[in-house]
Amino acid sequence: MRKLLMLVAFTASSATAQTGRRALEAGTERYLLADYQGAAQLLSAGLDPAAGPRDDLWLRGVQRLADALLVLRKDSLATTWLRWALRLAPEFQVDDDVMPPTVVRAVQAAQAFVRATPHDRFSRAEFRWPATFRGQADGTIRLAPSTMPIMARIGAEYFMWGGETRNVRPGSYAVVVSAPGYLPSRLTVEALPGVTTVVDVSLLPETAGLLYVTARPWAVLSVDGERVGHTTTTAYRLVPGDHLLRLERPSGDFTDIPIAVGERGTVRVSWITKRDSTGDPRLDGVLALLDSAQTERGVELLRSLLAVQPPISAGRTLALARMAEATWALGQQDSAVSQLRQLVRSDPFYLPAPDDFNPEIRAAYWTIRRETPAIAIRAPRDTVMDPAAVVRRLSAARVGLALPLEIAVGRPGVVRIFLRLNDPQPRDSLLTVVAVDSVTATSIAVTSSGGPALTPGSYALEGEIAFSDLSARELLSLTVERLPVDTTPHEPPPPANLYEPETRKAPPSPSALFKGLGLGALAAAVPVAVNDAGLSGRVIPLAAALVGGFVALGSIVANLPDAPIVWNVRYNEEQRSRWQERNRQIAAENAARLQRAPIRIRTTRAP
Amino acid sequence: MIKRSYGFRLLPLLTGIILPRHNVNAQVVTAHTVLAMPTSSVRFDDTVERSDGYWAGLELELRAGLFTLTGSGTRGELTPTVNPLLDRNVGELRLAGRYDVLSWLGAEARYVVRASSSLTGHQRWEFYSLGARVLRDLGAPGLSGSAALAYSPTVRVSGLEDPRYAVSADAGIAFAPERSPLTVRLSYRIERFRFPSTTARSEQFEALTLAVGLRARRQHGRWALGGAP
Repeated sequence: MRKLLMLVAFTASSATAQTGRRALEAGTERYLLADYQGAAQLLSAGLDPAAGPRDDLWLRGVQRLADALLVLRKDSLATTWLRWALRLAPEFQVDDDVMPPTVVRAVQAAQAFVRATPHDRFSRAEFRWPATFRGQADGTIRLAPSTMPIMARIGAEYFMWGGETRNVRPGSYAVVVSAPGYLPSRLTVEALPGVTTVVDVSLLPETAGLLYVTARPWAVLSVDGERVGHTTTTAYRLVPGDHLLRLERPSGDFTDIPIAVGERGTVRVSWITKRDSTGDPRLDGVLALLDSAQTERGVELLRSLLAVQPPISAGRTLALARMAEATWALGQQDSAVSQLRQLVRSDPFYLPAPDDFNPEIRAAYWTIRRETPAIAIRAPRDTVMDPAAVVRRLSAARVGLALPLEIAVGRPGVVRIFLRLNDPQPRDSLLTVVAVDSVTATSIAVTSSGGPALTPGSYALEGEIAFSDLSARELLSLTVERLPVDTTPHEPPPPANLYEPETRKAPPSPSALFKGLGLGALAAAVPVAVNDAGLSGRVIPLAAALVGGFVALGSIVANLPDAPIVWNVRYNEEQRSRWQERNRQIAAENAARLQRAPIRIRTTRAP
Repeated sequence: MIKRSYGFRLLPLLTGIILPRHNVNAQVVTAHTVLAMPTSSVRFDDTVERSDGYWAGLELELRAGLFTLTGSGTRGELTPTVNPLLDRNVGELRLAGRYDVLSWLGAEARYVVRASSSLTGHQRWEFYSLGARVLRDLGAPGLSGSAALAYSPTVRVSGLEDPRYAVSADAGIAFAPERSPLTVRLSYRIERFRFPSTTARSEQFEALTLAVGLRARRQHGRWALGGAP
């Protein structure tokens, strides 16, 4: 009899689940047939969380429902369904390979909204699907009954007492539940068409204290045996009195801390076994403040420190990470997301250790990292490469030297590394193309077997990752120097006295002789023409003849032709050839030595 | 006295005219030491009296573009071959300016004043000349020859009736290596003075001159020894 009852119960629950699953499957078929009206109706009915697990079919159903509603121009309804699904399944990710961009954008907007409107731990919402689902109906919000005289304000229009129900248009509503002598509780709920949203709250008395807990590495916090969540915990309200905290790390280490909470009192608990240090006393002071569970003050100081000019360089990454973590703990998820995005852009090489972030923020970091276009490249700051050492080590033909390069990206993609040259004219040369998921190592050739790939000089390495909508770039300055090596100086040319004269003066030609004598005669003739032979005693004065003779002699000698001395020319040519040949050998040896000279590469991050 | 000052007053004027400012950066200054063997021949009626001697002096030459200015001063003795007791102390001052119309032809103006003193008294010769000079490269760098012919319409001689005119000529050879500051010049000049026939006098002056000098060139505002840069 007992077995029969269990079988009946199993069959009944299975039948209920089958109904939802069937609706999901049927809605999927309609969706694939582009019957969006029918698909929206069936998928809305099939998404009842009580009808089955939130598996792949359910997650795809949410996306298909959103797509169908967007096609039907019911954007606000699609937004409401997505927000509801994201509250129910925070790990929900849109499949951007399958879904159109409109759905992807709608999911991202819904994620931002849900992050900005989290539930507190004193309230929860349940969703009850009707037996017969009507997609065109209004939504219903019901405030669960309580022993206290609780009242809820829904949006700006509706008020209701505990146990009351209100029909509202589908959408997101801010709900504030309050009761005299108790702290109000705020939450945002989605009213779905045809679905009853039950808001259930348990209010804390006004005299509740606040608990702040910090642990490094992070730990799971339990209060009086009830799991609260991951540290860092901020402004956790506790009923005044004695409580027992337990902090337990993933490694299994735990500590029990008894605390006494006074009325409206604040208790700060920290369990730090690993302190961060940046070397900057200002930053270290603020990090110590965070470690002492003064989270709000720490975040405020960190924010002002990170805004100072010139920006802090040492420890900036750590500061951003800690600020994002603390901001997240304060419930300001939107700001935390922005800080995590800034962290990714600032230092894509930052890969948080398992101890650094608790699983929630770690998951958020990786989600944001994979959405943020960012790139960084780095290489050893100062590297000396010795081609000769490589040759000796490998005992083989010369192989090329490569400069190791690390590339980090935010959003995964294909990275192109360009070499930017400025001389003789600015141009880019594509060095390598690498698909990078997060961080990868590659290398660029500095020398190759064919000769130097990078001649000494200044270069810039540019890494670029481009997507259809955005791109990111990073520059690295590169200085290549050849280290000095001993080279043989060229031989000086043989001294002039080692050469034999290559020409000799030949006898003057008759014309040169005639011309010289003529010039001499003309030179003498001018004074002779003036000369009075009777006075000077000579028709041609001796001095006139002397000057004329010098003019004639000078002209003849100056115009003596040069005749080559063949043997001397040949001898001198041999001398020159031997000298040039020796210098050619020296030049070749020097070139070979320079080729084998160690290369020094300095890299600096371009400003 | 008034006549003498004309020549000196003309000098700065002449310099101002023939040395345009644009030539300032291509100036060559040459300072020569001059050694000369002068011969003066004078005929009275049928008697010819000759005097020989040795002179020494300095010559300064400034060349700027196509213009050349020369000034020289020499001093020495002239000893008559017949009566050595009538030695004359002679000094000569020459100022000359030349403009090279063509690369081989220059127009030349000259002012010469020559004075002598002896036991018989003082005598002063002063004349202007206008003429032309032919220049010729002889085929080797820095080796050149020149010959000039000049006419002096006015010659003034103290204590004598002035000659009607004078004609002078000279010829010479000069060597000024391009890279060296040294210059050498050998020249011969002859001046022939024609007196009125009533005086039955004629006179001729000759000089074989050897000049050795140093050149300095101004290039881009700086002076340096040497010829071509």
